[in-house]
Amino acid sequence: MFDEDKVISDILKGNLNTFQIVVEQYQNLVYSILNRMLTNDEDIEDIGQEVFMRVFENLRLFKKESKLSTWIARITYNIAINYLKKEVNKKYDNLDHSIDFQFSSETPESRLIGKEFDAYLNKLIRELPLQYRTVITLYHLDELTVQEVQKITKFPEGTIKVYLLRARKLLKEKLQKDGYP
Amino acid sequence: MDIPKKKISKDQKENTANQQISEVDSEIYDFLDSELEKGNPNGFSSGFSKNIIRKIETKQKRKLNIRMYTLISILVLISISLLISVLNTEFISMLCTVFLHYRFLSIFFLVTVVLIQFGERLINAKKGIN
Repeated sequence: MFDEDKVISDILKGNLNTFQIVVEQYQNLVYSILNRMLTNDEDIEDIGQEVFMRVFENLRLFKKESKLSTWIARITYNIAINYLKKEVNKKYDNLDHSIDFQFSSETPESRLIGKEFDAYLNKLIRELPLQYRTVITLYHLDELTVQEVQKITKFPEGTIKVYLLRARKLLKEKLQKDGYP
Repeated sequence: MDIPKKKISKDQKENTANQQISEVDSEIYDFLDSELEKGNPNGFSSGFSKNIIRKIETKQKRKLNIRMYTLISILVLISISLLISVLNTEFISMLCTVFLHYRFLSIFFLVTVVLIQFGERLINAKKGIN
C-alpha cells in the first residue's frame, strides 16, 4: 500500500530509496502528460528528469491540499508549458486559432487496429491545439477529475469543460470520417 | 456535456441536461473513451528512476562541497585578518624580505603544485572518457 504521508516524511528525512519508489510510481503519469503535450520525443526523457528533480527539491513545500499525483501532474504541466514557450514559441497555440482547427493527418488507407491505432490516435491528439490536448490528456488519465485538472492548469472549470467538449468532438469527427468504430 | 460516462458521477453529474447525444455519437464516444483511457505502452527508459537518484546524489554532493569550501574560505579569511591584526608591521616586512629572497624557490614551488593539480585533473578526465 502506497502511504503518501509516510513516503513524504521519509523523503524529507533524506531517504532516496523512498524517492525512487515515488519516481517508479508516478513516472507513467509524467510520461503520459509529456508524451502528449510535447511533440519532440527526444526531450521527453530530459524534461521527465527535470520534473522529478523539481518534485524532490520542492517536496517540503507540498501542502497536501491535493493528492501527490495531482501535485506532480501540476509540476509536469508547468514545466512542459515553460518548455513550449521557450523552445517552440512559434507553435505555442493561440486559442483564437483553435476554432478553425483541422487535422493534418490523412485517413489511413486501411483500418488500423491494436498498437497501430493507438499510435494513430496519439498522433491525432498531438495535433490538437495545446489547450485541448492538455485538458484531454489530463482528464483521461486515471484519477484526474475536472476539479483536479483545474488545480493543475488553473483554467476555469467551465473552460476546461469547453476544451474537453471541443477536443472530444474534433477527435470523434475525425475518427468518424476515418470509418471508426 | 459529452464527457466520459464513468467520470460523470465523480464530477457531480453536472450538466447532465446537455448529455443528449445520438446513439451513433454515443457509440463512437464510448470507443474514443476506451481508447483514451488505455495506458501508454511506452515510457521512460528502464534506468530512469536510477538516473534521477544519481543526479540528486551528485547535486547533494556538490552542495555539500560548496558549503565546505565556503566555510573553509570564511575560516581562512578570519584567520588572516586575525593574524594581521596580531602581527606588527616589522614582522610583516621581514616576511616580505624572506619571500623576496627566496622568490624563485617560492615561484617554483607554486608552479609545481599547480602543474601537479592540472596533471591530475587531466589524467582523471582521460580515465572518465575511457
